[in-house]
Amino acid sequence: MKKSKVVSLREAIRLIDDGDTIFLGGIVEDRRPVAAAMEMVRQRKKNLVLLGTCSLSDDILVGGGCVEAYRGCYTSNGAFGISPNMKRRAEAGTIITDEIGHLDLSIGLLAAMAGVPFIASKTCIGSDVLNPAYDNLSRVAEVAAHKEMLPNQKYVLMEDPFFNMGTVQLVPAIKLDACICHVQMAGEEGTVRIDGSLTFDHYAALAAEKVIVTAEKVVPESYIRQDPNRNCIPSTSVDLVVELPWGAHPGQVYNAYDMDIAFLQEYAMSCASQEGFDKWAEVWIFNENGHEDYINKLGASRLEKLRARPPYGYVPRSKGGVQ
Amino acid sequence: MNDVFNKRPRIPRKSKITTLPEAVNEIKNGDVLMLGAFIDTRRPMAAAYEIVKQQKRGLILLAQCSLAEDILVGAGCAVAWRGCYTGMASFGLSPATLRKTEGGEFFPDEIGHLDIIYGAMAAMVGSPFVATRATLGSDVLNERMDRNWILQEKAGNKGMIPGKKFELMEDPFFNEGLVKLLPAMPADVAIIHTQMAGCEGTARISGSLAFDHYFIHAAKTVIVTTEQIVPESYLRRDPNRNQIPSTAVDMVVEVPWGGHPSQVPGCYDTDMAFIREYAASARHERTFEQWVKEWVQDIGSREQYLDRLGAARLESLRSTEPWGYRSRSSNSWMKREDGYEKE
Repeated sequence: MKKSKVVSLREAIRLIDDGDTIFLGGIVEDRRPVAAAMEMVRQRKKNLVLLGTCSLSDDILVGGGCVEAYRGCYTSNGAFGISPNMKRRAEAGTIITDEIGHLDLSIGLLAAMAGVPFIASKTCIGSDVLNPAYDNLSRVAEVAAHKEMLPNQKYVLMEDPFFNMGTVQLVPAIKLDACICHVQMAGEEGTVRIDGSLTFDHYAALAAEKVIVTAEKVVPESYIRQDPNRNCIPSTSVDLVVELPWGAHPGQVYNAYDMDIAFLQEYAMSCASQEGFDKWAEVWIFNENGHEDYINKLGASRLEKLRARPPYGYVPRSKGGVQ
Repeated sequence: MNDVFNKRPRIPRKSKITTLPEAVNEIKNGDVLMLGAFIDTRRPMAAAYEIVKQQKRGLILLAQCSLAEDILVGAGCAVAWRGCYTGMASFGLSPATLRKTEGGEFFPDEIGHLDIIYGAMAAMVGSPFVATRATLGSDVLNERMDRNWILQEKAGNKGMIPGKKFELMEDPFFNEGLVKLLPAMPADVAIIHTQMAGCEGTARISGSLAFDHYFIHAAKTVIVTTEQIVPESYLRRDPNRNQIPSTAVDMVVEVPWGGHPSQVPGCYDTDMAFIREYAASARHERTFEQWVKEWVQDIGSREQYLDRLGAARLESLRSTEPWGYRSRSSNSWMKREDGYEKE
């Protein structure tokens, strides 16, 4: 067997350097690396440039003071309203934001995965994404430790020379220093198996220089390779693996657990002010034993109520479902 | 605006399940055609035979010109090709392609290996082009070998072929210097062969996907031929194991051994003797015609094709666990008795 890549959460997060451009896997509150984000807050990471979305795990980084700039397309916690820390800091002008389109994110990551510098698209034409008044890319680049990870300009417009599609936008690749994904299962050498939507994890993991996978379960590599077509990220792309049960709580992990609605509501309420976030972080983040203390504080019975049921993969809430 | 990335209006049908002749009938002369998978793995061979039988003409092939495509070239169905590979792996250069290219009857337009992946990827996401440094400094960019104009001339639907083969520009974003703008590679029709498909078109591939999961989103019409059609509900129990969404698929055809003589991982291995015989026959026009008569024109149905091969021959190809292919070092139940493995 090759060398195991399994390490502790603390050790894994040491791989993230201040000023890294970083992408967190999953989407909104689904399969987000929340425990990894909390560990970054614990380790007081600084000047991170957040790429992609700013939802649950990302917003915790913003509240924790780890992020100075954000470039992406979505800053909300789904049904729980606009990401509270991001909203507060953006309004106060204490964080740099640069908006791109939703499709820009997926095709930008696709380009980065393929190792190409840019791809043409018509997706944002006619929108304020192209408005120079909102173009903060150069300020985002100032924060990044590796300036070369960010493009020299936000976009270029040109006439499509091939299919007469008229004016198209050249979308630069979304290059990443680091990517952290939370998944249902990983092999000891890093092969990853995701259940449900892959979101863009399979692009981002191939695009990033450093890849950390946190997983509900770490299994023998030989087991996960028995069904290679079921795997989504190759071990060759992964640097470190952390076993982290409930590592996406309070978000959901399909086939593992559903979201903790009460916890998410409490988070949304608490983070209206920085003092509120700090108080919340004192309770949930700054524990002596990190994630272990976090899940103990939640309590086993609370967590059991969230456990997903087959065949749904979540906890059915309708009257027709299992009570 | 160009509708190059839109799907062809679907012919209203009760079910997507159809027969091979009916599915292949959807291909028009002059269509840009993409055949799935790779070299001698999971090739839509039965579909290729049916195209020959229906005497399609003027097809423009994309991606590679290997086993399945070479038969189309030999039979005069295909007139041009844009892609990167014209071999049949250990069986040598694609013989009919070689012969017809040298004879000036078939027009290849060469692009890079990475180009076909990026081209399919761009078409998948509806993007007209993507930038790359692949092929810079190679003869792919040599004007004298640029046959894009021939593809334009031959294509039934001119909009499918880019106005030019490539364009060079300075990378405005990451100081990568000169990059090539590579046009998307859309197709009129894509045909893939899979191990399993649902009656609504969801398909499950075992082993390498090759680029099928890109191709099917790059084509206006998508035909899936499959070893087995299963209830859609069965496939949807494990959605992460499926790669082809039903929404992208127009027609599904059940064709057991539909990849023969290529291999289909988990089902059967390459029929070496058959390919070797093809490779030898296709070198000359006369022997190719004989081969086509014997294995395509004189064969009335798929059942007849299988019976002609014979059950024992097919059984000797059936893959074994845990490999998913036929281990050649293990004891075959009929080893050395029939001659198929002797050559």
